[in-house]
Amino acid sequence: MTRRFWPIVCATGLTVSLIGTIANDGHAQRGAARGGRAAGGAAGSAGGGFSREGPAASGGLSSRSSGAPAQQTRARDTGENQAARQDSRAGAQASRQQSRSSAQSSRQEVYEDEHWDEGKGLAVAATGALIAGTAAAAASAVAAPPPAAAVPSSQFATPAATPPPPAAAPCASPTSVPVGEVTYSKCGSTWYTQAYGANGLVYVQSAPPPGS
Amino acid sequence: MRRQTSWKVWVAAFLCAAFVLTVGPSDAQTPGQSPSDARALLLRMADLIGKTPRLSVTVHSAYDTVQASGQKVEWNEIRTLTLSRPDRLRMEAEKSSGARTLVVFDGKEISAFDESSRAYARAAQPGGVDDTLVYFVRDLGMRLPLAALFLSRAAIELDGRVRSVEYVEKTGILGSPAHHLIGRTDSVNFQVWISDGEQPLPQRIVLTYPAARGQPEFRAQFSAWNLTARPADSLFTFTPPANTSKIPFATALAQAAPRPGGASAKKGVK
Repeated sequence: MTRRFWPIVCATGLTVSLIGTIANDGHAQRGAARGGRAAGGAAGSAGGGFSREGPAASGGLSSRSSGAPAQQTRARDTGENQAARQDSRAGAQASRQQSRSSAQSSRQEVYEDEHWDEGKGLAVAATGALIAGTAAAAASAVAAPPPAAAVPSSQFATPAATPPPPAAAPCASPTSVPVGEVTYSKCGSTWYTQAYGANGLVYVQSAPPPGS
Repeated sequence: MRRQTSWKVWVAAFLCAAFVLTVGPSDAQTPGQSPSDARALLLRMADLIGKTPRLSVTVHSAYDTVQASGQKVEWNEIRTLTLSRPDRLRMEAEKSSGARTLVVFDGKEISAFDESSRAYARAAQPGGVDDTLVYFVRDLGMRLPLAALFLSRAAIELDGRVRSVEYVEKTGILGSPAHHLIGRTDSVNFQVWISDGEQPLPQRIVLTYPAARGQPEFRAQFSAWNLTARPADSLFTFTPPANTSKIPFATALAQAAPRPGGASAKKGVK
């Protein structure tokens, strides 16, 4: 009788363990499935080189891809018998719309205050129409970039691990015109000035230099 | 006799099952780490960083960008950040391309220097580190990943924006014991590994942007945390090197620049 006792105990324990393991695996798989939801969106991309821009570049705790408060305004239905009441209603409606618009504007400001690191500024700085080239794009556009001048800089505490990339230019052979602190570069008939963007030097389309 | 044995078998089987069901799952979770504890752990981490007056840390980070083709490219960089509250900060960054940049808040001015372009930009500092970080990221459109962590109000900031936090496990896989948490803000999913012990500092953070195409990630690995740093004043001074040019921040030009074709600029003048 004792000989039958322990095999039964062990078999029962093993069975329960197996059931537990299977249950845990199932739970984990359901969890993974829950975490795998996808949604639509768009990431920016530049023409020549690979784009460095995108929501993940900001490393922010908020993203512009979603989560922004809705900005829709609702149209108010009107019927044929509303003509008599239209004046007073129009006044009241204007007042409500104004307060609603003000409230929306206020909510938007609060949202932007709370989500200040969502990359809105990055998007402004990277507006394609204004940025003529970045270091990466320009480096790929220039046929034969000059060898990088490895200028030692006392500004950095540690030496560079990788040789620095060549300085950027807005096109292969721009005409440069320094005016005070600003250097204007001309490519064809378009003028650019240098600016400091999220990823370093960028070229921004500009008006011609004064006196040109 | 037979009835007695049967009784013993059933009791033993019940005890065995109870043991497996109770002890088994508790091995997978650290006792006492409920979701509310996970949030408390996250806020303790933020509170520690926010209340530390001077610190330095090195961050190896990477982020994905999804190209037009749908392929992802990972960009890597190393940042060394030194902070001295209330109003000074220095951040040296080296990208995988070799490009190096420097950002300095000296208490009065923000300076950003691009070594390979020999160019720098300057703007007035609007206040202490908190105000300046927000201004730098939001208004100047500059990158300073995980900036929210370095605000003095980091715990309040996280508490207001984090919608859920869950405890995953305790692990030593990153080199020292850490608590692995996952959470969500309104638009970002995150994972964080926080050191176990007296100083709950982040060892690693992964941010996922689920609504963006390709669900890109930002990943940061922290090392060399120093909460007793005594940085020299000179560290927060930026003197433009010779043969460098001062340029404006792109956001300032973007706001002032003419639209393509110049149509809008002409329209504005009557």
